[in-house]
Amino acid sequence: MISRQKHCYVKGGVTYCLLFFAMIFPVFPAFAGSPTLGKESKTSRPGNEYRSFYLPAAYSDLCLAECAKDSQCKTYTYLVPLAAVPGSCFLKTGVPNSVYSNWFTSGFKSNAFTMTMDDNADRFGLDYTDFDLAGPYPELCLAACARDDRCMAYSYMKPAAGSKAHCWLKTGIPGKSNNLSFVSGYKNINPQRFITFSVGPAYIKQGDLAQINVNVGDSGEIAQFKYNINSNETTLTFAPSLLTFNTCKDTGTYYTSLSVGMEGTYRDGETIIPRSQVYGLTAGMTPRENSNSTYAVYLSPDDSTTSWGYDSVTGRYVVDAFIDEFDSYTKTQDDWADFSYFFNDAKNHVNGVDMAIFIGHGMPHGIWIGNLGVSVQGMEFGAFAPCGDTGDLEYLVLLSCDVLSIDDPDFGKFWFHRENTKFNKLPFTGLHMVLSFRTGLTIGFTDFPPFGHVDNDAADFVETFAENLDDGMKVINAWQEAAMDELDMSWGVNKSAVLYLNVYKNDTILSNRHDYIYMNPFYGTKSINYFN
Amino acid sequence: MRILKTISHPILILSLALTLPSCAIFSRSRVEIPQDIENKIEASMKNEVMVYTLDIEGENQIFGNIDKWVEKQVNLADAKKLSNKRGDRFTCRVSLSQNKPIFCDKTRTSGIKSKEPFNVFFIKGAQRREFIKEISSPTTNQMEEKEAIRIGTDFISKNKFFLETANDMAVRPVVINQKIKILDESNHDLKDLNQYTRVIFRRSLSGSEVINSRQIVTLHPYSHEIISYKNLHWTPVIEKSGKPMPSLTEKEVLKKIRSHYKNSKHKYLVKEIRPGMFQTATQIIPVLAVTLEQQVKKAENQLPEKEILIISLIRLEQLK
Repeated sequence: MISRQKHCYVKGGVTYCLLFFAMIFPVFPAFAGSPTLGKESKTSRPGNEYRSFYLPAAYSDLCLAECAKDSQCKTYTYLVPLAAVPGSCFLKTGVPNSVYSNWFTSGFKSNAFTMTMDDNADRFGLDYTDFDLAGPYPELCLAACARDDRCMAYSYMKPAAGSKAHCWLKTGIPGKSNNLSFVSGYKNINPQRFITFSVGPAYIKQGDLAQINVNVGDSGEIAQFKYNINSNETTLTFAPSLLTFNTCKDTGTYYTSLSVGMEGTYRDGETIIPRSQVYGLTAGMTPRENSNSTYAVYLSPDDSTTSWGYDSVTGRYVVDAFIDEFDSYTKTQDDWADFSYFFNDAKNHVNGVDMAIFIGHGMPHGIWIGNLGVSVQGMEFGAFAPCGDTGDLEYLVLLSCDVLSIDDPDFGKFWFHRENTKFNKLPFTGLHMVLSFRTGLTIGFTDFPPFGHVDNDAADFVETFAENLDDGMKVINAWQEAAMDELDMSWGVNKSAVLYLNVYKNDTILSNRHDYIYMNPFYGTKSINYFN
Repeated sequence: MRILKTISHPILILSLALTLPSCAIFSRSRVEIPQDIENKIEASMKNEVMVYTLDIEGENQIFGNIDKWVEKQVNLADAKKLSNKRGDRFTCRVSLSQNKPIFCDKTRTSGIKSKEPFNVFFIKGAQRREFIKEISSPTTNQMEEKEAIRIGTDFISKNKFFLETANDMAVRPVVINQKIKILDESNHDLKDLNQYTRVIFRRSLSGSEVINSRQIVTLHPYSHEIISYKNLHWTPVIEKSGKPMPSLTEKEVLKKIRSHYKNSKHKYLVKEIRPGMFQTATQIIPVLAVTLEQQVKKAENQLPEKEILIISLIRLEQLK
């Protein structure tokens, strides 16, 4: 056990340690057999989720700690990092049945309790064990306490340069003292007074009205309640149960995060300050296109899990050729390949631009990005945008085999507009065109440099597509002519196709391009231009 | 974050279960070359192969013919002139309000009636000339392939866009229709219309196909007028320039195929080989086109992606 003597110091001949010991002994009696939050390896407990999030490091105890701190949480499930996705944490209101799985760790509370965590505070004494921690996270110390029925409190010493963070577990709850080097807390078995809050909807997007549910124990005794949301501070004489905050700063400008802090003071002077939280807002994270400018384009050049579209001789991705050549549009951005963008609300990131280009393995009505196949029914690209803006994704380019498999009798069931609402976004609202292939797409490489700048016929294809756009061709012709020029269709592959979708009611049409045709607004697929 | 919510655990587990083992299996590249393909490669190998030198003067002559023909169709003096970033492609864009049809079929005299202004593009680049009228009038009419080939052949030969010799000729033209399925408001169904009929001429040099040489004549299926013409990587060769060179051996070819994928983590299966020629910046060289299929698990619902690796059958230093 590490001696805490080193934290005592002498000033003016008085041993402050003695005074300190006098202060803390014994404020709370030792407690045996306290409730715990367990840890079941290779176990998932699917269901009952109310919150999920990525973790800063791959420790299941970080997830355990989040559950321990939250009175609403009964069970947690931790998912190991996978590919580009970091370790993930799911908090649950109940205790769902367990399922064996290599990738999950779970645990549930034996009885209701919460763990507190106070920064810059120590709780000295009553130690029964101590140890170095694997990482510089006070939650790891908190989790060790939560797991152990002997533990009633913990103190975490922040790591000095070159040393590891250290953790003490305690059989009782010593009094709290200010100490910048420590984080400490205790197991709150029967909390009478507490302040917790949660923010909804579960995944806040820029433009949402954030709803903050406040839960205050012994709320009738509250004398003053202060809260701040993104630096907007408010003081009340009572504890609210719900706060709201509009994440639209003003039209066209968005908060990128939402920070929430609270402080409650009871009539007897006790003050409770729950840990403040910062939530990332997941939509429209980058500056949106300027309405006075031309087009913005996002690209997904790399699907590293399939290496499709990568030329190992040149070290070049096919879609890079587009960036190299294209110069008409105001913004181009690469390194944007993340299959999660097909699912999560970062899609609005795409919706804010005019053209999005993805490359991946294809399938009828879908595309494989990373390890996951995405049907068009799962895509939510379209015209939705927060804060009153109209999303403007007009062209979705999928460099993949068979996506527009028009011979499939079910084709029409997949490709049509659905009208989005703010909270229910559906595929293709407002989208003008999908540019892809109705057959296989065969990428070609040469092992010699024929013309000096490209040696890959798919790269030639996207390059010519970019050049055609720069020349002012209609988008459909830029695509189809490029395919005709650069891809050999004679073997029954490389037959490109362009799908037009019907106009969406609020959609905009550029006056200088005649590539959007009005037809029956009640049907999705207006026309398909294809090579037979 | 939404992904965690959207994908239920069983689906996530299933997708992981399917993908993680595959990552482990395909941790490094493996190119499988079946025995029958190896036999085909062996059979196609020769001790000597021919390399041809491009006739730049001949190309200038052909491109001169194309330029003159284009100048007869549109007034390039009024064109908007554009160039690409690399500076090796120049485009003249002319906006027209009325279509002046270009006929090569004497039986037709009525062309597309344009309802709105349209652009005409003339693109000049290295080994490239393209004339494109951005005009369209989908029709239920369909051209017969024979007729399309006849008109296309007449067009390129009468205008001298191609110098045919006994050794260097256009062969096996392919006809590809560009179609539109368009919403029929009367019955809310999609009806099929023909937009363009494209005749693609392929090139044979000493009996081998030059796989990147292409001339494309686009016709309107009803009026039979010329909509576009493209001449791509089809430079004549200097007469009697054929020079024999030692070919790669079968072993060297197999090594080249494998080494191209040495850094890939996937498994590839060679499906097909096709000997041919390839036009580079200065020469036409013998190549072997190797079609490989990237192997995916069927349960993943992915269709196997194909790649074509074109291998020079002469050593790189001989290309200079």
